[in-house]
Amino acid sequence: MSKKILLIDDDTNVASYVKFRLQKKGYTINHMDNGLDGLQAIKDFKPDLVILDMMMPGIDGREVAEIVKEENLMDTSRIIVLSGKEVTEEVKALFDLGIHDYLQKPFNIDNLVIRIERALSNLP
Amino acid sequence: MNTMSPYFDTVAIDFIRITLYVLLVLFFSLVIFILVRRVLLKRWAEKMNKSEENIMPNLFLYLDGEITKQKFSDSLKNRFEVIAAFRNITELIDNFDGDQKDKLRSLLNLPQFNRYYTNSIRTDNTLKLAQACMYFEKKNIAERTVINRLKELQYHEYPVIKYASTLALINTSEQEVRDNALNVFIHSKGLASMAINDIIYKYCGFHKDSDRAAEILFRYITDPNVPVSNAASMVKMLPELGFYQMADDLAEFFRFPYQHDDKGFLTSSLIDALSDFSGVNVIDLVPEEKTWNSKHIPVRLSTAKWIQKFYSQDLDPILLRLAVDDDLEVRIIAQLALTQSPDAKNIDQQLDVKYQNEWDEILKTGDSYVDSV
Repeated sequence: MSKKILLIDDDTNVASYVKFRLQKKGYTINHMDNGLDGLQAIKDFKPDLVILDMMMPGIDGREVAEIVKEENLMDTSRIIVLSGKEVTEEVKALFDLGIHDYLQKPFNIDNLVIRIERALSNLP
Repeated sequence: MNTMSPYFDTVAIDFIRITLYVLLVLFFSLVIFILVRRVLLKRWAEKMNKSEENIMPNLFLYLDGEITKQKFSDSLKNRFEVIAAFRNITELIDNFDGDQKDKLRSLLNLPQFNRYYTNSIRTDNTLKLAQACMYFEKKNIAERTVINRLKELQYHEYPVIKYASTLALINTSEQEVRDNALNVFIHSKGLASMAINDIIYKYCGFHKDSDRAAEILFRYITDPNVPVSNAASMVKMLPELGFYQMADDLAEFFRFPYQHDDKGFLTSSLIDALSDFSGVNVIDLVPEEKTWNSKHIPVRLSTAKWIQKFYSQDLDPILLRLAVDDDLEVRIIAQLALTQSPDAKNIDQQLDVKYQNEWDEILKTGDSYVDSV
């Protein structure tokens, strides 16, 4: 069975291209454009990996990661964070929450795909 | 007894009738206008959505090398697709790096874009002008005619067009064009501080000689012909740009009067900037009227923040004055600064009764009280 990836990003174009690339690799992709729907999809879709954008209106990426950790919705080490700006404190807080990896926008899509494959290969 | 003649009754009735007709016609015209506009906007949005649906798969295929640039170009059939493609390409350029970014950038040279936006920049339509400026900014224009048109647009009545045209000119490869563009922009009125920050940031980023860029900025900051709000925004940018070599010049400028700073924004920005260039004592540098005893709230607030950052017990008398300021924010910052005083427990005796509740809250909750306020 193909691995399931959930993309939580309000930037629809970026998410569409990431989705396009990952589908070609054989992954099953689900996309949510806000944190609230993203949290619901984590419960329903039960993804193997989450790609989470930091900057979103409403519940932002950091809050999503905090809720995931607090409510034990999934292992936070299966979250890769995308962020539009490098904020050292924010990044540190995210790694304290146990996220797997962090990528700053603008990012290289090939780099993201490699990190996703590496993260998924470590899964049981 | 009724003194009105039947003639006047008839005229009055006719007048009321005509007024009602006119109002009815106006009302229905307005309703029709709103309905037509809504239909047109809906149709426009539908066409744009459909165009996006058409072009995005091809754009992704092109990015993955499955179709050629020519094939992508052939797929752009109408102006809606050109607009939608440009919008999405620029969004992706901002988010992606590496090969994808280079491939996306190369699409901007397609003749469809060039033709459409070269025509758009000649129109008077504000939206089209803004889009065309954005296109030429992303594309790094070289054509002289376009540069000349962008120079004209720097004097446009709308600040957004002034900003967009300046941004496009700043992105050119000629330093002289950039310098002139900055000069015109910075002397313009009604600019938002974010627009100034953006332009300054880009201008300095492109300048080969950062010392020279800092000197140019400082020249504009001290230029009395530059609107004071623009000068204040530029001052705030200096620490952000890392121009610490300007600290002495800035301190010197702070000491001299600037008559055009009639609301205190420039003085306040100078205190904030000097606070970032740590080591410059703003309190001792100028008379009290220009810092803690200023008639302008922003100046008193910046002074309170400066003291909070560089607290020393000698400044307690000033903080006690600011702690009972008419402005809530100034009071709170000053009281927060006073919590650093070794004498903090006895401060309440020196404050007016009406401010003692605030002081008690500050002592109990500190920063979280400020957040709640």
